[in-house]
Amino acid sequence: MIADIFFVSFLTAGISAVLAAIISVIDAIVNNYGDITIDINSGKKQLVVKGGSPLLSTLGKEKIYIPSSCGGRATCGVCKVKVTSNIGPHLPTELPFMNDEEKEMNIRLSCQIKLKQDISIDVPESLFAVQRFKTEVISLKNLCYDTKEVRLKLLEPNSISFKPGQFAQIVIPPYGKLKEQTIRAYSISSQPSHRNVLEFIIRQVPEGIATTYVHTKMHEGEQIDIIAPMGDFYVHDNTDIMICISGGSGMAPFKSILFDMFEKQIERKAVWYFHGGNTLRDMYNMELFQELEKKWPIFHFAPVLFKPNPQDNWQGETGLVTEGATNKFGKEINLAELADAYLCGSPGLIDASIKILTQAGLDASKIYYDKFA
Amino acid sequence: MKASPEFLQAQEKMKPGVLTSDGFFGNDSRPLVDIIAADETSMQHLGITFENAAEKLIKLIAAARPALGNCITVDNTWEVCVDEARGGLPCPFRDGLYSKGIITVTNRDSGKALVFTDLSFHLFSKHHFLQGNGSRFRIEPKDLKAVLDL
Ligand SMILES: Cc1cc2nc3c(=O)[nH]c(=O)nc-3n(C[C@H](O)[C@H](O)[C@H](O)COP(=O)(O)OP(=O)(O)OC[C@H]3O[C@@H](n4cnc5c(N)ncnc54)[C@H](O)[C@@H]3O)c2cc1C
Ligand code: FES
Ligand SMILES: [Zn+2]
Repeated sequence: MIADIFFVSFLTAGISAVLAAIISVIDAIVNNYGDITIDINSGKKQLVVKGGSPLLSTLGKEKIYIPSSCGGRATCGVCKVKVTSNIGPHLPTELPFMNDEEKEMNIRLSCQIKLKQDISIDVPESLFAVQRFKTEVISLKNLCYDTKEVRLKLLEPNSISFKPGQFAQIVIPPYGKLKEQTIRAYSISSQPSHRNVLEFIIRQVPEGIATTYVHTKMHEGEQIDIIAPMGDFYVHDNTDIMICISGGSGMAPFKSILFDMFEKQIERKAVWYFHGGNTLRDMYNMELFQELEKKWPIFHFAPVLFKPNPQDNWQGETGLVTEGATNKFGKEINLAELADAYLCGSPGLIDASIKILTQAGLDASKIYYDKFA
Repeated sequence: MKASPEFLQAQEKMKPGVLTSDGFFGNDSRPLVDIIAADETSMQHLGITFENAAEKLIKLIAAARPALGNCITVDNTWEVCVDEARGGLPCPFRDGLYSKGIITVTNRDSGKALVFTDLSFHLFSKHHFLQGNGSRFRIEPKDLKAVLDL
């Protein structure tokens, strides 16, 4: 019975697929959409482009790179833009990625919008600075059993300016069963004073497309494209206490942020950095931050282990990284002087950190993290 | 379960290299509906239901999620590790976005373990899809029964 239903639906799907293909060919031949104007940020930029293609790829050709992780296949939900003109309702392919507020604001997947009429969109100004770079892998280093440091030398263009905390999209070439390139976001872990070399901290995700490539196939001398800089995770001006909390590869943006602050001798009452792991084998770059602590009086590094092994000889804080932070609240950290907090890690870590920080009295608007991470 | 064009679109998305590197079928050449039907029958023969298994797993995952990627013991019987990574993966049926990363539930008495992901748990509980033979995240009905003490 189920096989019959399957057969019938197979036929239906087959017919729909053929029909869709025919419609798209006819559409391309018959419908000449002519020139179309894309108005960006209320007249800040106006592009006249040939209609008929998706907004995402059309903007890409004009060197405006909207973040994307799936190459326009409507499977990542990353390519969101706000459309301020009327282009009709959301498509079924867009809806799984939109919450009610986004639907209300007419946030759309730019890869799903076919340009058939003039359109107005709002994008963050910072996107105008995004470029595609050719790079060469100059070093690959194991930081711990599942995490690598990757350093890329910029070839063309050969220098970049970015805000510490921002990320790059690394373009992974097709390999194995993959026929197309894969794009994934990675926080830049080097500081902006290194304009010709970018560093990343990449943790292996089991069965992950990009991370398996980085951990098993990428080699020194190889050329890789990146699109950067992206994101609005960066340090806001203030002179009071700043807290950073991370776990796993979440150390990457803080390495960039904290070493940049030290280089520029940014004034803060205190800067606290809590980084968590399960046992000592999960930790890396510890000496680096311990050295920084010695050189920079306002900086406090607090690594926290959940369940150190006896052989770890662990003298530091134990428990959850969030507990490591709350243990200091009201003692070494004067909550009345707490200005802002910066978070990087899994969605669970972000949620748990927001909870303890707001309970400690910090306004949610002063807690910063990459929204779609 | 209704077979429809959407259903076949999901099957396309489950092929290697579309959503994930190796896809959801392993070395299994059976169509999606046949895999689901066969597993529904196996579950029935074992006297367990998707609902009961999902309920137990939800309880175990909810207990371990606050441990932020660290492993914890639940009810003195299960070691549960929920290791989330950044980034999301959509369900091939287009009804949600799920965290990347791995969830492991080990029965400490037998040492047997279930390895799955937020997405594979959703595919199991909502769509009754346990993945094809040979898939890294295939969940065997007999393992569900043994590990979860159902
Ligand atoms: C702004 C931002 C910054 C980031 N910065 C960093 C960083 O600095 N360092 C870093 O390491 N990461 C970072 N990430 C995460 C990174 O972008 C990737 O999401 C991550 O590396 C995983 O990519 P992948 O291609 O290896 O995994 P993918 O292939 O996309 O996903 C792999 C996962 O898919 C699931 N999966 C695979 N097959 C199946 C199946 N058959 N059934 C069910 N589930 C399955 C599993 O959960 C598996 O772990 C960042 C993400 C964002 C959004
Ligand atoms: S680029 Fe992935 S959904 Fe649009
Ligand atoms: Zn689903």
